[in-house]
Amino acid sequence: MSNAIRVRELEKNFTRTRRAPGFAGSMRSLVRREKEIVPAVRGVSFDVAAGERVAFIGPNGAGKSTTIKMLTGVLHPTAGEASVLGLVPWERRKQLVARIGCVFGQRSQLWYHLPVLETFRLLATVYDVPGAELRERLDELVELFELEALLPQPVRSLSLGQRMRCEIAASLLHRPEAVFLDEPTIGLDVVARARIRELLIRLNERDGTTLFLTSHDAGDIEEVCDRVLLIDHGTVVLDTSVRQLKADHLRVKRVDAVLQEAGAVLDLPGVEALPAERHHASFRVNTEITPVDRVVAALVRDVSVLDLTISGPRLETVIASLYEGERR
Amino acid sequence: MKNQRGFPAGEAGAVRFQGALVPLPSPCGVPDEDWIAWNRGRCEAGRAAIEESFAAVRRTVRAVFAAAAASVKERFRARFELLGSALFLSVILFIFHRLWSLVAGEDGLAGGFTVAQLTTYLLVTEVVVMSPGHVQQRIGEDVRSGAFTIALLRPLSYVQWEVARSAGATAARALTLAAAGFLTLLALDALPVLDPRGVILGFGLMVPAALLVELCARIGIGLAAFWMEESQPLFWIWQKLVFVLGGLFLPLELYPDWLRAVCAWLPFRALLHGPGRTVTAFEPHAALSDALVLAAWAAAFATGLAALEAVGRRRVQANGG
Repeated sequence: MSNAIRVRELEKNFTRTRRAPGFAGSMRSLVRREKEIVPAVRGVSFDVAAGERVAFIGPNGAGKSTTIKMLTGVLHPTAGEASVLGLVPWERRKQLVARIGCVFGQRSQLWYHLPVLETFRLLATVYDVPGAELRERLDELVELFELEALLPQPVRSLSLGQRMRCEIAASLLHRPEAVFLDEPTIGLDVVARARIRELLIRLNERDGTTLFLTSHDAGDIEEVCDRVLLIDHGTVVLDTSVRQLKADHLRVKRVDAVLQEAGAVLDLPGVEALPAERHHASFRVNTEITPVDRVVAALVRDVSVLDLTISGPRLETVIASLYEGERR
Repeated sequence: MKNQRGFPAGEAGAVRFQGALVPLPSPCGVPDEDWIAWNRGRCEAGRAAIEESFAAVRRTVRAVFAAAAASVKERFRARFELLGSALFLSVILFIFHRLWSLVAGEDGLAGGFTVAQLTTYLLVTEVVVMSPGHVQQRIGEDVRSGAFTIALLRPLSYVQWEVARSAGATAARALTLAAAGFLTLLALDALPVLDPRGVILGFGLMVPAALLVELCARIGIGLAAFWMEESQPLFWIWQKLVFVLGGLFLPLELYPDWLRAVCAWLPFRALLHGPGRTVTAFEPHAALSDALVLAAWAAAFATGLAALEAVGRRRVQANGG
C-alpha cells in the first residue's frame, strides 16, 4: 500500500519575544527586545498509508497543530522533509489543498445565513468541481450523510450535530484523497458523536479516504482509528495500533460478581480480592498473569454466581496516564 | 573521426545547463533532429506552463466572483442589519438637510453649493464610509485566533478570499444605502438637478473604486493585528482622517486653502470628495482627474494589501499562527 503521508525528521522552531517582568522590563522592551527560539516540533517522523485511519494525539502544546499546519502547507518547517499525496506541502500548497479536505470542529466553513446548498455550490466553485461532477458527488454525500432535508436550510437553523455533518460533507465535495480532522466531535451530544464516527468509518471504507484525526475524545480514537500516534514535546513518543495500545495498557480487569451465598475466595496468581458487600465479590485481575476466563471458571466452580461483570479501565484513562507519563 | 551528430569523437555534442542536458547544434550550424526535438519540448513545456497559469487565474477569478455573489446573498438575508443602516443614513441626511436649510442664505451656502447639492454630496460620501461594515474587526479576530492560517487551506490567498467576501457584503450595503438615500432625498424634496454623466461616472466607477480602497484599508488595519494586540484604534484614526481630510460632510472647496492643498496629496480626498463632487457638481476635467487619481490609489492600496499579507504570512512562519 502506498504512503499518503510521509514525514521525516520534521522540525519547526518559532521565535518569541521575551519581555522582562515589571514596568521597567516593559519600558526596556520598547527599545530592545530579546528573542528566544522555541522548538514546537523536534524531529517528527512517521508514515501514513493510503486509506489508513490515524489518530494524532497529544496534550495541549505538544506540537499537533504545528505538525498539521506543516502537512497542509500552511507553515514551512525549519528542517526535515514531508510529502502528502506525493507533494511537498509548503511548496505546492494550492495544488495540495485541492486534493485534501480539512474539518475543524471549532471553525465553520459554512456561511451562517445561507442555505447549506449555497455554501456547497460556492465551495465547488472554489475547488473547481464541474457542475455534472458536483451533482453526482452531492447525490453520494446526501445519501451517505442523510442531508436531503438539511440542504435548503440556513446554517443558523441547524443543530450542532447537523452542522457538523454538513461541515464534513462540505470538506468532501472535491473528493479529497486524505482528510485532516481536528476535534470533529467537540461539543456534540452522545448520539451526534456516534453518528459522526460511524459516518467517518463508512467514508473511509467506501472511498478509501485516508483519515488523519486529532481529538481529545478517546471515543473518537477507539471507534474511528486503527492507529495512534502520540506526540509530546514536539516528538512522536508512541506509534502503535489502537488494538495494541489496549492490549498493552488495559491489562488490568475488574471482575464483579453477585453471589448466591457469601464467601468467595480465589487463590490465583495475579488476582487480588477487593473489598465488597455481602453476597458480592470483586477482584482485580492482572490478565498477563492469569487470563480472565480462568478467573471466571474458578469462580463459577466454587460458588453459585447470579451475575457477573468484567470491566477494564477506559481508553481515556490510558491516554491520560500516557500523557502524565510523558510529562514526568 | 566524428560521431553520429557530427562532433569530433569523444564529444557528446551536449552541455549541462541548470541540471539539464542541452544538445548543441551540429558543428556545421545546421540544426539536427536532437536540437529541434529538444527545443520543441521546451516550447511545449512553456506553453503548458502558460496555459496552466491562465487556468489558475481563471479559477481564482471564478472563485472570487462566486464568493462575492454568495456574500451579496448572505447580506440580503440579514435584512435587519441592512434596514438599520438605511434608517441611520436617512436620519443623518434629514438632520444635515435641516441644518443646512437653516444656515443657507438666498444664494445658497458658501462655495455656491445649494442645500440639495450638499445633501446629495453627503449621501455619496456616507455610502462610501458606511458600506464596508466592520470587516477590520473580523480580520483582526482571525489573526488573533489563528483562523488566518486555517483560511489558507483553500486554494486562494486569505486576502483574495476576504476581499471577495467583503466586496459582496459591501455591494449589498451600498445598493441598499443608495436606494434609501435616494428615497430620503425625494421625501425631503432635496434632489438637485444632476448631470447624468456625473451620476454614471460617480456611481458606476468612482464609488466602487472608492469602496475598494476603503475595503483594502480596513482589511489592512485588520491585518495589523499581526503586530498589535488590538488594531481597532488604528481604524478610529483612519476613520477620523477620512471624515476630516476626505470631506465627509462638506466638499473640500469649503476648506481653507492651506488645508485643501494638504488634502490634495492624500488618498482621503480621492475617496470621498472625488465621487461626491463628480455626482453633485460634474465638471468633465476635474472628474476625469479625480477618477484617475482614485484608480491610482486603488492600485496602490491593493498592492499594499498583498504585500501586507505576504509580510503577515512570514510572521506566522516565524511566530506561529
